[in-house]
Amino acid sequence: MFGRNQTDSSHINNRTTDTRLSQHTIHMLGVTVLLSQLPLLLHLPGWLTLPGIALTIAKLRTTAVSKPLLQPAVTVILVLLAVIAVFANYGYLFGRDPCVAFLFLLLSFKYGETKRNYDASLLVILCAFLLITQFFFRQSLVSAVISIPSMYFIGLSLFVVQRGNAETNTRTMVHTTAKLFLQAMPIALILFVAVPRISQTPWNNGGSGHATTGLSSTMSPGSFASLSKSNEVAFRVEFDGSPPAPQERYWRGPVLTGFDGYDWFVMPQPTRIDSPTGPVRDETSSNSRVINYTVTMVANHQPWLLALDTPIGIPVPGNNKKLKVSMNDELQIDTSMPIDQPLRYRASSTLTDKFTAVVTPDGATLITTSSNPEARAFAMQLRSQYADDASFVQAVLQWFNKEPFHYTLNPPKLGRNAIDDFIFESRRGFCEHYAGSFVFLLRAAGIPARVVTGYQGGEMSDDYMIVRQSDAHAWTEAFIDSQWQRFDPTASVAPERVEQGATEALRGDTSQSLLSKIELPFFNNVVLKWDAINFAWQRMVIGFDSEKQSAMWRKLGIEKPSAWMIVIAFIIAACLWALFILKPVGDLLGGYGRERLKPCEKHWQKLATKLHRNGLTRLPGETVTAYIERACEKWPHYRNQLQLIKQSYYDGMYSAVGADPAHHHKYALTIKRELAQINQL
Amino acid sequence: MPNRATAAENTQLDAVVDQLDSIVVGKSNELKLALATLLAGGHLLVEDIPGVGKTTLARALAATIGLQWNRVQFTSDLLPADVIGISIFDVHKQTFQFHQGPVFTSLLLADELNRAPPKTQSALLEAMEEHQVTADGNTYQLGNPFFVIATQNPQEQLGVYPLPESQLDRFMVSIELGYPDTHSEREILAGTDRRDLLDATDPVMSVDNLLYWQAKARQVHTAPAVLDYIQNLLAATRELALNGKCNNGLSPRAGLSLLSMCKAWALLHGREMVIPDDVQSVFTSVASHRIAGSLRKGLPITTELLTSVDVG
Repeated sequence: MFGRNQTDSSHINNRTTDTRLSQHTIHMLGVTVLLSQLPLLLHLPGWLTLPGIALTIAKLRTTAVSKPLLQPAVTVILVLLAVIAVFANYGYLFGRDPCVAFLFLLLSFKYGETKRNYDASLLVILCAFLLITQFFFRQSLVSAVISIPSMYFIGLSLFVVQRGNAETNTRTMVHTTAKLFLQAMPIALILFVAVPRISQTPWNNGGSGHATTGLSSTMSPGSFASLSKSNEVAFRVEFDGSPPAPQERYWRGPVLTGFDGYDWFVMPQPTRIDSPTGPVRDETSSNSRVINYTVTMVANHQPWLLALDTPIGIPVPGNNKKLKVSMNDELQIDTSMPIDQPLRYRASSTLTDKFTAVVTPDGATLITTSSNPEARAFAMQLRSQYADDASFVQAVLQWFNKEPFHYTLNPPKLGRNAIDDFIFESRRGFCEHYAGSFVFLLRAAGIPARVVTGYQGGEMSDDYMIVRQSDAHAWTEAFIDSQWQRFDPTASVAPERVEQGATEALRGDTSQSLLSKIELPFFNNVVLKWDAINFAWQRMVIGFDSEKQSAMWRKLGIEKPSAWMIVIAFIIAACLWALFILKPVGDLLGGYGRERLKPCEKHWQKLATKLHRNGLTRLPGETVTAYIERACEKWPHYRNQLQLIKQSYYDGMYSAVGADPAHHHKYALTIKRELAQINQL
Repeated sequence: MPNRATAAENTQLDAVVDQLDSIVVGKSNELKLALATLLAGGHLLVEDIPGVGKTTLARALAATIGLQWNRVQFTSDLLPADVIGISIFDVHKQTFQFHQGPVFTSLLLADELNRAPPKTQSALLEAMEEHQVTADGNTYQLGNPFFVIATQNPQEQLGVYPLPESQLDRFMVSIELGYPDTHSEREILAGTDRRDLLDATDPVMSVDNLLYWQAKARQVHTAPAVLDYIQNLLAATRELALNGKCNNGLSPRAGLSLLSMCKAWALLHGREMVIPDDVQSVFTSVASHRIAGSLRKGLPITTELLTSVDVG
């Protein structure tokens, strides 16, 4: 209709002071509550959240304005029930998950009993708070995007509640909220960029029993095969220079020296190297290429980092200052706690396949236990044919290459002496089979050797590399000529695994279940694009730490400003903002759409606001005369002032004389003067 | 203060209002509207049942301002010539001689306009618009001022030709007199006969004075804020018409009429500027018959508009 909301007249009557919410407002709040609750459905157990959602919807569907859905006594019982349910589910009350679940339910209860303005304001604030809690669980781009509608509705609800139900029509409110929302974006952006960063997120993200993905500290036949089926991203890398060639992309992870006859595992407490310059620089490889890069690791809940073989320094974590990183003499990079949030770190490596050991390998690197007698015998026999270690190792590799070994994801089941079974019977296996048997053969022949796990490969997407779980790999290192040298027996069997990646190597394999990638160029493109977007989010938003911030200031040619500078800059910015942005919006809210208010109008608006606050609201279509008349009736002792204001307002706004700015100003001053006398209403 | 300057001068208008009030009792607002219509140079449509003082109103106006006046009772067999005049062959002069009809006057009371056939109606309405009549190829100017008060019986009756909306637009203002309240009725019953009263009335204003006040009304200042308000109202009626809530939106001519009436109303109240209150006071009478066909049907719509469109 004509710029007015055609809502029922009940709240027009009590618009002045009151308090009861209209049906329309209740609905608006309901939508806000639902939108704030929805993202948490992904993170909380259904049997706790669904009753809450049901209650919200029930309230949303009720039509009785006057009666709240929940009586206070019922609410008390419900709150008690909620405490019990939350405790029953989690076993404790003070932690991230139970607290969020409890807040989730409280929000529904609060909405259920909402009937007054006061409740509504509180409810909207609670919604905003609940909306934030989803970021305790996940800080992805998707979480950010799905919270936008709820934020908009929170803004709209605030508007609706503050404007007393029917004062402004819905369309205006929707538009104005959208406008304010859009205007708030640049401010939020500036605040995000300029406010000094807190390096550690204030909440503790751990202790939620996530299933770990990726590498583990033990390796048994079959463990890598399952990993290879996962297309999940393990980490992403940005190289300072050009990326290494495919056959050089060995990402070093846990080093498995321990062997119990079947499983390979990380040996506890090896010597730690804490020197920041890194452990070893090999003379022979000193002229090989040094490469610097930044890794963004997905939270894998494991206490180690990955680096290109061979790392030459301890990586420096960027966004988690509390995390302590160390490297042991096996060049395995450990962290003081599991990686529970996406982590960015800088690392440097030389692209070499050998390095000088700091300490001579101990007996652990020779342990073969008493298992696998056939393999042991075979190793002894082969060893007798070759004098030096290097040619023996080459012979073993050649043997793997010559014999009909087959690279497959679905190897047959192996017995207790798994290595015997594998190298003489089945001869079908995956990287862990080859690496394990190879190390076993070397050890049996008296050469110190160990299994290194990590990732091999990586796919370039624009300017960064994606390494997926399917790139997980195991290779070996043997101690020859006082150097640890890398050997990859898998490469002898299936060279394309190293050069082109696991997917390519398994192309002929009967089980294509590994290929979660679909062979459609368009689809692959979309997947890569999506990954690029996610990564950009990780890099630019989640990974925007104090260091990046300093870098940004440097790029702008400014020293990192002090907190004071920032505060002053913001005060100035806020003033400018108020002057140029908020004022036109304020005029717009007045409903006149004029660029600038005339002085008389401005002072008149002040009076109108004052009267409105004291319970006398100007009705739609009410003239100044009628409005002032009502005011005079209500406050007869101000009659003179009010009449004078009215007269001056008319003269200033409507008369021919008032069109002249000088005279207009005079009338405006009269209004101001009289207005000052009206103090206590 | 600009409106004080004219206070002394304005006494003449106040005297007219007072004298009208004493003749047609209890109808102060309608009298002012009629007078304002005269000042604004428009024509007046009175919708009412017989016997509530329409003729008295016309005669009172004529008597108070000293206007020459005529009355035509419209009937179903009335011809255009009966209103504007007729050419008759003069045997002595051997030429056709034009005999002026009742329209050649300053104030014409057209009683029960809707009884006349459309041809006759439109002859009068044309005269109202053009301020001239054409007969046998000759054009005759009407007097100045020329003011028509037409009455229309709102009750559905046989043998009437309701004015189409396009014709209604020619009337600047429509009013309804209605029954007098108890107090006024007693005064009418107990007091002197209205006819005697009218005969005894002396004009308090001359025709020249009237022309002066009409010119003065045109000079009343209208601020942009008021024009905004008027435009908003016009736009609101058009929006209503689009939504099918009334017959027509207000035309630009209606807008001009509204503005003229606002100025005349302001002048009548001793102001040299139009304020939104003036707009609100005259809006219903100017808009009702145009948007809904009659005052009675238009009243709820205009009331809704006035309580919904924001005052500038």
